[in-house]
Amino acid sequence: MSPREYKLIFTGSMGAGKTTAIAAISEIPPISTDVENTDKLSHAKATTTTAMDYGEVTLPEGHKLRLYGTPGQVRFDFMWKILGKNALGVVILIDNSRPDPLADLREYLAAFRSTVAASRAVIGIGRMDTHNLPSIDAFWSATTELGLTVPIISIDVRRRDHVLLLLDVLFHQIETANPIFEDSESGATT
Amino acid sequence: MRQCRRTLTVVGLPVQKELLVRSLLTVVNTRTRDLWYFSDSIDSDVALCDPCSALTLVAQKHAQRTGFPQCVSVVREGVMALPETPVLSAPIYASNFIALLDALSSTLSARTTSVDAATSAPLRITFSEDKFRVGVALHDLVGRASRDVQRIDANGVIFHVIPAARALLLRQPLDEDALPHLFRARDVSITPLTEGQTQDLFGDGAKPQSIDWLLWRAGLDGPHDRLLPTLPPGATFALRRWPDFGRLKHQTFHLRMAALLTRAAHSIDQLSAAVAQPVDECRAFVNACALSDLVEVHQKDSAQEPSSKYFHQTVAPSTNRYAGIFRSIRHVLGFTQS
Repeated sequence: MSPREYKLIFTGSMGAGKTTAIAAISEIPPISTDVENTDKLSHAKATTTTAMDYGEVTLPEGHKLRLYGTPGQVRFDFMWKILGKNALGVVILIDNSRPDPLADLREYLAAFRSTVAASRAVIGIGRMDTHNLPSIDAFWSATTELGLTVPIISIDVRRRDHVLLLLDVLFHQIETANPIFEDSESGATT
Repeated sequence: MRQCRRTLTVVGLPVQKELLVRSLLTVVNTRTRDLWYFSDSIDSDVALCDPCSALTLVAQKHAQRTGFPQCVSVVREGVMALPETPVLSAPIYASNFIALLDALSSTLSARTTSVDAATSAPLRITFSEDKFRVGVALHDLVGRASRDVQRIDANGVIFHVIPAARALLLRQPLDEDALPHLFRARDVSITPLTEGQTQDLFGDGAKPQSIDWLLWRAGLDGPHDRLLPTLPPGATFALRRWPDFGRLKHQTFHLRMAALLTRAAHSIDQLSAAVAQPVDECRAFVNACALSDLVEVHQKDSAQEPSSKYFHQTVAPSTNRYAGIFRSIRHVLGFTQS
């Protein structure tokens, strides 16, 4: 069987930790397109991703898991759809210290709606230790109001075990919701 | 007169305003009736809110449910205040801020007094039959949403709870070794603290933390041979959302249980078969979810056929066509399996 490639997307608001999450699991140093952040009103970090982050994991039989991080700023949303096409799953990272995390979440749920509706998504809420609002219940209400059900957990993307937990939850969600798997749906390519 | 300790937070205000409020608090505290502290918690006594922020709606809902925080509209010219809230004009001047805090102290004192009067009687709960003493007692206590700090004494393990904030108040972390002892307690004494005792507790450095992990552990580490008294043995169970596994102790099979129960109701036996785990583990998981208010109970005769669909389709995960790729990824990344 020819080696196959699978694509996982990490998306979310600027500063939510997409680059950090990819770095936690990629076997190669992540390839980033970080530049100086000129949008310091939205987030105070020094650099931000303008095109995408990329990492990869080599699987048995030569298969590859490719990890893509989308740029966080809304003005790059055209990239989200390009990257999200045929993805195995999407990890949405939300920074709870931002002014309106629920609005951030709605934005990414809308952008990746087809993947989310196919139960191939998980949501990680960061910085809940210092910003406990909105609560997990509030995020859950925001997703169900859009007719979507997605696992939501609080995480610290600096911890590799938390990034693995996100993926494990995503995989269980996919396995349970999609018992009949068609490779053509998954983004697997040869 | 003894000063009360009050907490204040901000909701939806820009960072610059939050910094201003934090600075102002340190300045005005020498001139206010009570001592005010900044807190990041929504369970603060007072929240300064931006009426235009979506987060303010969340704070208001929380206040409707628990009685706190008292929302205050911070308004600049041309912005409408929230209905029935005190108003603080922006830019914020120290004199206005002091006047507002003193006015709020009066309101909060009136509320505290009425709550104290209603809950001053000590409560001792003794359970002769039920084995879920601590879990059930804490769950009921949190459900009553009182603002009073409650002292819990179970088998000599002593800690404090603020029910409305779903918070434990601990001087030091509860020892892991103490938990089995705690969960085996035959009786639980619950006593509301006076305001003076509460202030002493805070003065001793007690720090609030979420009680959710303790409720979860009470279910997970409690008796495995039965369901909670509130869960009918013959019923099927679903989850209204995933537990927050980022903060709760779990094993891998709990993730699979959550994936199944968020999609369809299962009986304990169905769940056991679907995840290939003993029924004891399934009961413990459902108990933990129930104490965390995540379980929906369905009567058996209304057990949905979709349940069966998921049951049959997921009996053997290894036959799932995703299984191969996910097994590879889990193996390569070094997931802990259980």
